[in-house]
Amino acid sequence: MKTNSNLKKAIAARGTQPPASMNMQIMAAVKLAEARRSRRRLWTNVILAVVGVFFVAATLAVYCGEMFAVAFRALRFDGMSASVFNLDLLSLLAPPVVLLLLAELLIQRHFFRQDAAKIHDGR
Amino acid sequence: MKLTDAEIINRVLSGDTDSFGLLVDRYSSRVFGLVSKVAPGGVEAPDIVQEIFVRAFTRLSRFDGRCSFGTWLYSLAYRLVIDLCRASVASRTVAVDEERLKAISDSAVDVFLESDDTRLCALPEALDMISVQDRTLVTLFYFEEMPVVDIAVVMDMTPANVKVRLHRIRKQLYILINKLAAQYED
Repeated sequence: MKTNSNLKKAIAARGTQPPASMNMQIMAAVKLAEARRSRRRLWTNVILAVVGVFFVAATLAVYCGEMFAVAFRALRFDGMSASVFNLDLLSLLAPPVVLLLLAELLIQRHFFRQDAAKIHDGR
Repeated sequence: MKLTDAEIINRVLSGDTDSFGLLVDRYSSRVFGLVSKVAPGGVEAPDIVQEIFVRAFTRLSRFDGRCSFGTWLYSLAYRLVIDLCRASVASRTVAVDEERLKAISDSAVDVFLESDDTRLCALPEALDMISVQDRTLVTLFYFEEMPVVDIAVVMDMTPANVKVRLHRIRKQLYILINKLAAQYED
């Protein structure tokens, strides 16, 4: 079926020669696309950093406030039982511990995927 | 030492943009050949080729190596050409009656397309009258001599579909050539 020479000739006749400067123009366009992408990435990172810093700062402020409140109540011993104090402390410590575990899990997953990709590529 | 496509892609992905030039040098003329053969007249092939390579560069991280880089590049080219030509092609293509296609035998078409029949001078014009998808299929199969499996990847079809469609296109060309030849005689 592939030896259809008439069809091959007719298709060949449809094509034209590429202009000599085509590859240079392609690379110029690629460089432009790369610059555009870097610029977009930079702005995305800046926005993410600002939003991230804002959330971290807000969380830390709330967290420190809670910590001071618990410490203050514990120091005053105003009817606070040991179990309530422990519970307060636990509820304060639980979120960062969970977050740390989650971060650990994500990091492990990332490296596991990288290893899997390397094994897949035979590297 | 000649770098493989995979090595060049790794370099580009690790930030060496200039290495992409090696892929451009390696594939630009082939992609240009495909685009200039399948795109209808009036479409600027160098502009399309440029856009294909820019897309390939920006989507390079999505290339998973399941097919060759050339096949992946052709699939990008095919999709872009289809998108760009959709409007212009709809008005040019000629629909062929399904019953007529069924009535023609494969062997008669094969013999005719391989012969020195004078009616075959209408073949280039008949190629202009089929859709961009069909023209791509014919170009990849007959001109680029690409395996059916790779064509299926490029055109997002099953290999069986590719074969069926090739049969159909050959019959369609047969009908169109005869129609054009009859018009010339009149």
